[in-house]
Amino acid sequence: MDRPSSDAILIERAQRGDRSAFDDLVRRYEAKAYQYAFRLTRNQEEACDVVSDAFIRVYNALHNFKGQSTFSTWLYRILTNCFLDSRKKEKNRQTVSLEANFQTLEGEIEREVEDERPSPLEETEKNEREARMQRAVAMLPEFQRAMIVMYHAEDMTYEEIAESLDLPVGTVKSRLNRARSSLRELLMKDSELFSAS
Amino acid sequence: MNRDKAREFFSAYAEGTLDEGLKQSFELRLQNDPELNKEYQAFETTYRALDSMKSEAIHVPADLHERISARLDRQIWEQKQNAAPAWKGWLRNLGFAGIAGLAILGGVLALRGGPSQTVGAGMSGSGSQAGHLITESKGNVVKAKYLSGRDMNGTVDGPMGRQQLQIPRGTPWESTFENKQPGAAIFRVKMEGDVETTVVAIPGSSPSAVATGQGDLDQMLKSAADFYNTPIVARVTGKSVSYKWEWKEGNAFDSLSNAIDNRGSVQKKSTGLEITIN
Repeated sequence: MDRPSSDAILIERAQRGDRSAFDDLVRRYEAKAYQYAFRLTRNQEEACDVVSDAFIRVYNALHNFKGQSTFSTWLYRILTNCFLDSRKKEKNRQTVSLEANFQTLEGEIEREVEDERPSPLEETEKNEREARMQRAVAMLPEFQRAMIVMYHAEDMTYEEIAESLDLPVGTVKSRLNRARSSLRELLMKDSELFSAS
Repeated sequence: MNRDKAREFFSAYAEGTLDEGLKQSFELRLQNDPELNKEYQAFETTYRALDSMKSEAIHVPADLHERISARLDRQIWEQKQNAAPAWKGWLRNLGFAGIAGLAILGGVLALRGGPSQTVGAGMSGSGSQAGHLITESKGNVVKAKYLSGRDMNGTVDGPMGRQQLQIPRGTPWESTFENKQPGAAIFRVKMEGDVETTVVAIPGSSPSAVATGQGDLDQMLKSAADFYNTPIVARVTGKSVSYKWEWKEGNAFDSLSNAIDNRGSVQKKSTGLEITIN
């Protein structure tokens, strides 16, 4: 996601009120932002909302952006906050759980995602593994989910994640380690569910 | 090293970033603790499996940019609205009456029509045509009046989001439209039961000199509207496709015809240029 030099030019123009420069910035990052948001939400509509919210926040706060971090790191932070806010609102509207809560190393985790898995006959083994992984990731607490997606799907380093989430690097590492352990447990549970069916 | 401590090093060991001393202690613990060893093997399998996330193909919605722009336009408009509460724009009328979208469309369609009166302009052949549209325009400000021959429902998607239209039969209705944004604005009007969608691009306050580009229909219409500083109307029944364009000064008709190619046609009407996309 990093194109720092040309980003800086666009940002400077956008900060001076050039809307077309801001549009160019949006065009440059919208697909990547959407992919990140979709991996977090697993829902097209919600992902679009998260991305739209994020770019509005970027627009409103652009004059405060001093270039101390890269634009993409800043955008990831905003996207993550928008996702967390979206989930807060969703929780207030009462989420319907499809499964019983899971107990993991992190404590109890609510299952909040729709289970859209296709029938075993329709799914290849590889797709099934990926689908199970996606479901497991979707069951992680939101913050852990964001970290997992950033590291394993967005190829961000621990340092970049730390900067995006405003956390010490050590904290990011230890939380990611716990998230992976939680995923291992969730995948085992999921596997048991499959073998029992 | 106890079991809990060893678990803390699972990721670092899998990544090969544990320093030598810790690595030896960790491996010794695994050798002497088959249960933990099994747990680590499962952890490592999970860790490697997470790489599959990278290869997942995620389809980005074709209208994502349009949706972001629409939200942004609305936000900017609201900010301006808050800053200037006395401003009486078209959306205020829209909010009050609920159905201004259609009148806006009519206003736009009539923008190039000269003296202020258009009957049913732009709705011809749509199957939902049911009324009379009267407009007056000055620059990019349009006053519109619509009288429907029967009850009609529909939607207008514009820079400020979606508006539901409920047009009661025989009730005259008026509104004013103005695009004060620097860039062109798009309105997408869909009447219930109609296969056709009408898309209207209104030029912004800052004409554009960008003559070439490529993108979807909305992007092309906005570009043309800003380049030629004129509203463009398109009636669309086909699927969204990609266009390439090259605008030539003073020749909107030919330039648009070339951009559309064989996917539709351009007509010169008294109300301005109209495009049909099949």
